[in-house]
Amino acid sequence: MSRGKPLKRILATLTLVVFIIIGFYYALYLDIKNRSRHISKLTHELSLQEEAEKYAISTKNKIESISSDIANINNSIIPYGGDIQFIEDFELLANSNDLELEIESLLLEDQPRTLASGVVIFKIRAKTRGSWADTYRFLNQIESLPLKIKVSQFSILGQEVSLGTNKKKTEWQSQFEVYLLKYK
Amino acid sequence: MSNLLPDELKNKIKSEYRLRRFITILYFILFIQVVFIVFILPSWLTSFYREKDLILQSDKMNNSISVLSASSTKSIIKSVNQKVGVINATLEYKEVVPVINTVLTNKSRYIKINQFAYKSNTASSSIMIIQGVSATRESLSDFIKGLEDTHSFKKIDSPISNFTKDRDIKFSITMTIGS
Repeated sequence: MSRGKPLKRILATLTLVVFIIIGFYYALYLDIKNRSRHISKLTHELSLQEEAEKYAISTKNKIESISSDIANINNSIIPYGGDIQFIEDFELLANSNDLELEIESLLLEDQPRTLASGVVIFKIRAKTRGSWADTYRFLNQIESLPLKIKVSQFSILGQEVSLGTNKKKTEWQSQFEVYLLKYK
Repeated sequence: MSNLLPDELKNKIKSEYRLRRFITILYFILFIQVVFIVFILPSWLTSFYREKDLILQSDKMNNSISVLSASSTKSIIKSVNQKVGVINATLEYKEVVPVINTVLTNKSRYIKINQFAYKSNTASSSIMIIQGVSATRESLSDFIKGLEDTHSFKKIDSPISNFTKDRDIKFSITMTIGS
């Protein structure tokens, strides 16, 4: 007769333990479910990050591989404050080709397109006087400068000049307008 | 069959039997639960460490991407693209020297050129006007034909008035270069 009470206590305890374990089990299940969800999200993010990293690395490598081209692009524009030096070099180039150079006008022109890049268009209008070969060589050298230059207009006119006693020579006068870019 | 136990005792025994049966069932359930937990535990451990590992990897990758400094790379590309765009838009043109070379290559000794005039219209189009004197009609005609045969010019305009004289012809030719 006295066994009834301990059995009930055991039953109650076991029931409690079973429910606690069910609770624990459910909590564990929820935890695993949440972790799985988080893992799949992280895996997806990681794959995106990996792609982003690969892209960043390949872009960086490409930039490194074309660094000389980038330097060439940067060097094809007259540096800030380098306009006077350029004009002097330009005159020197003409003189070294035995040409008389006269700069008629210098103009800095802003355009909406160039403003965004921090550059202005540097326009030079000039004329030269000398022999055909020297003018041709000078023009060739202008077009081969490391600075990017555009010969917008060019004209060369040959005129016979008397040298005195029945001697004549052809003197060539050229006029040109060139455009360059200059950092502001 | 004779009933030896009193009803009260019989009921108590039955009740105790039911209790024991429940307890046995509960033990069984408990056993199953423990087994379940034992089986599910490796999954939990795996997911726990996998999650931890992924978080570490993600942090490491975030740092490496920031080290690569995507923004500086972007700004370099943007700046270079802008400069190339401006250079192409403002300084692209058909060079003068190759055009002069083509003209001079096709010029015979009977042709004397006094003037070259070049004007760049667009990045791909420009005009060259040459003026000079040709000794004969034939030499001028050959000169123009030679220029046409180079296919370097889109259009070559030589007014018919160039051929009015048969000797010492003063001529003017307009050549369109590019599109």
